[in-house]
Amino acid sequence: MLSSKQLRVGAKRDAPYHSPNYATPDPFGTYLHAVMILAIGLLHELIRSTARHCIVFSLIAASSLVSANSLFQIHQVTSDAVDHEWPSLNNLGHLVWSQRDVSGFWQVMRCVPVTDICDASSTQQVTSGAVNHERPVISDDGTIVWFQDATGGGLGYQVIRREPSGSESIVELSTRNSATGDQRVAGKRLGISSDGRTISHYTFFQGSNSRRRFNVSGIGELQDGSGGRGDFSGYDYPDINKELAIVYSEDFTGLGNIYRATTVAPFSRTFIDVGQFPRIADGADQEVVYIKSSRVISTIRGDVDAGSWADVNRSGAIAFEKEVSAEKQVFLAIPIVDLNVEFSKGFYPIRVNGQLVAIRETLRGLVTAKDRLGRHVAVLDAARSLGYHHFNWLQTIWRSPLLSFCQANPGDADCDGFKYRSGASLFVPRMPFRDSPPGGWEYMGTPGLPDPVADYYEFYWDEFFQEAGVRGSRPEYAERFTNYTSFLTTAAHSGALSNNEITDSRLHDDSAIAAAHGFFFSDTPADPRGTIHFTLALVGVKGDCRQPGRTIPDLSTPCPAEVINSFLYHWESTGDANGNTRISFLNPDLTGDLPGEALELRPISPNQWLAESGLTQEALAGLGISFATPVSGPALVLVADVIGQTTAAARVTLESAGLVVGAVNSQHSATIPAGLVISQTPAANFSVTPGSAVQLTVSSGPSAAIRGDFNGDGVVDQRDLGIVLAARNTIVAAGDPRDLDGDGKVTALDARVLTTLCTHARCATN
Amino acid sequence: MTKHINFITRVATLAVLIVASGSASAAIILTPTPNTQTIVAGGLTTIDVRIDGLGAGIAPSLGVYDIDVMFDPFVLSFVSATFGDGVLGNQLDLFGLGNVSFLTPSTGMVNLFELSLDTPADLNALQADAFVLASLSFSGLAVGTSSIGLSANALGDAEGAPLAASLSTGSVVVTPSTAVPEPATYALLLAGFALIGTFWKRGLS
Repeated sequence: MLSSKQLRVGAKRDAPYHSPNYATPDPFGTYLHAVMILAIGLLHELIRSTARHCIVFSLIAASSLVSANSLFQIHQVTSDAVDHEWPSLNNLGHLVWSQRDVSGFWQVMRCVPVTDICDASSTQQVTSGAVNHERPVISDDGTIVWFQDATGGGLGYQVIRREPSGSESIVELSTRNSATGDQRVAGKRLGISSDGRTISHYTFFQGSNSRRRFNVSGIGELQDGSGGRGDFSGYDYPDINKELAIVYSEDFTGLGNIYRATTVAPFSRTFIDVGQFPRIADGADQEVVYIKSSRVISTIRGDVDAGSWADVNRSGAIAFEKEVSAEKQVFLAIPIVDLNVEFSKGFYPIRVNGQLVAIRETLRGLVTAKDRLGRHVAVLDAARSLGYHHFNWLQTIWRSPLLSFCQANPGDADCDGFKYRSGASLFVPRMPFRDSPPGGWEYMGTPGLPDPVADYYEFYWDEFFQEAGVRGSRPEYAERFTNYTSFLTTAAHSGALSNNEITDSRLHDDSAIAAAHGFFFSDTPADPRGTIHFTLALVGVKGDCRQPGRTIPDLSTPCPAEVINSFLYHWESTGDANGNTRISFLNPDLTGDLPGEALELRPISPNQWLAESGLTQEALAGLGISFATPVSGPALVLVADVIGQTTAAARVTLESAGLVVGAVNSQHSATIPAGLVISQTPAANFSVTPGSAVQLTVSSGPSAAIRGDFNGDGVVDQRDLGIVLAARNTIVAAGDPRDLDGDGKVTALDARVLTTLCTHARCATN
Repeated sequence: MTKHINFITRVATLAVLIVASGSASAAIILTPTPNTQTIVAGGLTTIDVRIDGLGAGIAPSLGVYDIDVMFDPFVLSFVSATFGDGVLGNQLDLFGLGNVSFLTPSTGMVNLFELSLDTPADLNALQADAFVLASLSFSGLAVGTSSIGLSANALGDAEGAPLAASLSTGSVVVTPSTAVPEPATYALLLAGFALIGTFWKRGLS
């Protein structure tokens, strides 16, 4: 038990008080004169992030499985007994796909999850009628584009764009000149960027000649890099991202070369792999997913699952189709996310009429998200991939004495020294906090106008408060309220931090808001006045609970949320030498005088959180709050590079790292001797759980020698040309088949020699 | 200045080495030709990379090339490039059916790669004896003189056999632009005021 004298001594020394038993403070005996300043937050000018104490935990959404490589949770979206094909998703996790209706026509379906990951309950039919609507794609604003076949072929082909408003327009259509017989045929495969830019194509048939043009909305037909119109004959399956990177593949029913390029130089391209149906995501990594040997492959995360069509978004979530019991169903592979929480400290001066009246220590909770490869994921994306609308902080605050008690009994000894600002009261419903409407609450800017700052910083703010009523023997002293504070998710706000992951309760530091709501006192005492108990929980909010147009929150409808992890800390109020109030942390690990100092705040159990917050299960249920299930991420091991090793050596290497050899396939290779590993899945340096299988492809040596047939498919064509060009200007060993002129190097000359060896004219592939 | 001299020396040395490595008589010559020899800072010039000395209607013809065009990155800034001859058309794609081309800019260098998919017979019979391979556009970055050098990683005939060629150099002179008040100065000043205003307004709120 601490005494008020001890606290007072601490205050005179003007130093933080280090309570030896902070975990069990007596809120009623000696800490009676609490200065009520509500906040966790930060003063950006004073804070530098030096956090070193990081709490890491993972979440797995309900009804999900973990993928074989431990990088994904796999969630089945559809299950009804019809075929579902060509799933596509946007950055918000909204899905579209086509499925057969009762008449056998393909119809576009859209899933916009509101409170969870996509499932049948959040799915709506977009198209109808006796035509086929195939291969739909969706942008972030909900624009959907699909291929429409009204006749079963030829001139009935159209590519249709449906805006969020429901209006439709034609992107491509087929026509024929009846006089000449020339035809323009709309392409069946198309793509869309997250910001709504489409890429489609058409083929123009003129006599025995044909040309294929790739068309990008807002840009037009892609050029060939030489100032001419690009001819993409032989290529198909284009897709585009927001950064104007494109991906496309050779137009085969089987495997073909996949390339990534840009709209500016579509033929200055990077070879990705041999596969089918490529799709590209936003972001610096330009992640591409495609199908290879009936598997979904990601250029970032390797082999995902069995599948026959896939799409990927910027947070690495992959929608794909997979056959289950003879029907194709839609699945989601969501990267498993580790949430990292770091706390640090700042100091916040509070002034009235320019005079410093209080210094408040503030607590900043920074949340970042990473996938199992250690790659940053935007926090908002991480939340949405887990079925939450956003993350937030749920804070409970308990203090004594009761404000209303002091107002009613100003002469009471417990309330001595307290003079609240005239007319301001903490517990009248003037606190306009809850999810803000788009543009922010009116008080944040010019009344009646959207607030530019709120527009600029994407954030959410929720708040509940309630009087729980009972604590200890003096219920009239007990006040509790809970509040959700905000997440900021823009890089612009994060200062030196990056990757769009920062969270804090910025608005609590806003002196204008504090002034408007009387959170401080005009003549705060210099003496220690009391203790404030906080619990803090990271929650996932299920649904968009913003209340547009309201400045007073409607608290009658709970905003459902799940507690993901929770923490406990305490404040005490003391004074400084100048007669100002000082609000300091009591926890030993949280003391110190350096802004930006890293704080070690350990998670507490749900039961402890409940006990410390004073909330009951019933009260939680009334608030719509439940508990999520954090899981610890298993220790991961790096996959070794075994390419070039014998199968036996690869087995030793992998098993020594705690991995096992999975399926071993053989493939002809003109460059890698028989018996050596050509490729592995997962690739080297992937992180996987111990015991994971690594599939190997082992060379069976060159195929029956056809000069120039490097990939052993029996023909010399553009695929082989791609193999030579990929090795351009490299020195190779004597006898390397790619060195067709035998000069010890693979050069442009070898590429030209190869063109004279091609099976078909112009090295065509068929 | 030292960097400029080093660069010019490097280009000149490279060109000499490549010429010296030619195994046959150098009837074929590659030339970088600026359409404007002198430009002001900020101005544009186009440099045609031209080949001369091929057989007209007979072998040898050009089937593939892989060439580095080098320039002084302190004086010139690469803007864009187009393949083919503006008058004769692309002589490595005689029928407009497409070929394989790569354009790879890097600091002080642009790699040009073009591979014809036309047959040797067509190339030998129909390709002109002299034409422009590609046209590169540069802007003047700073006052100075930039040598324009060529380095051939590979130059092949219709059958993929190496072609010996002489590599010429060119140059572009960048002169000062006429001194006028710089709008950027005013823009910076205004931006400064705007920032101050923003912070002041935020401070009030």
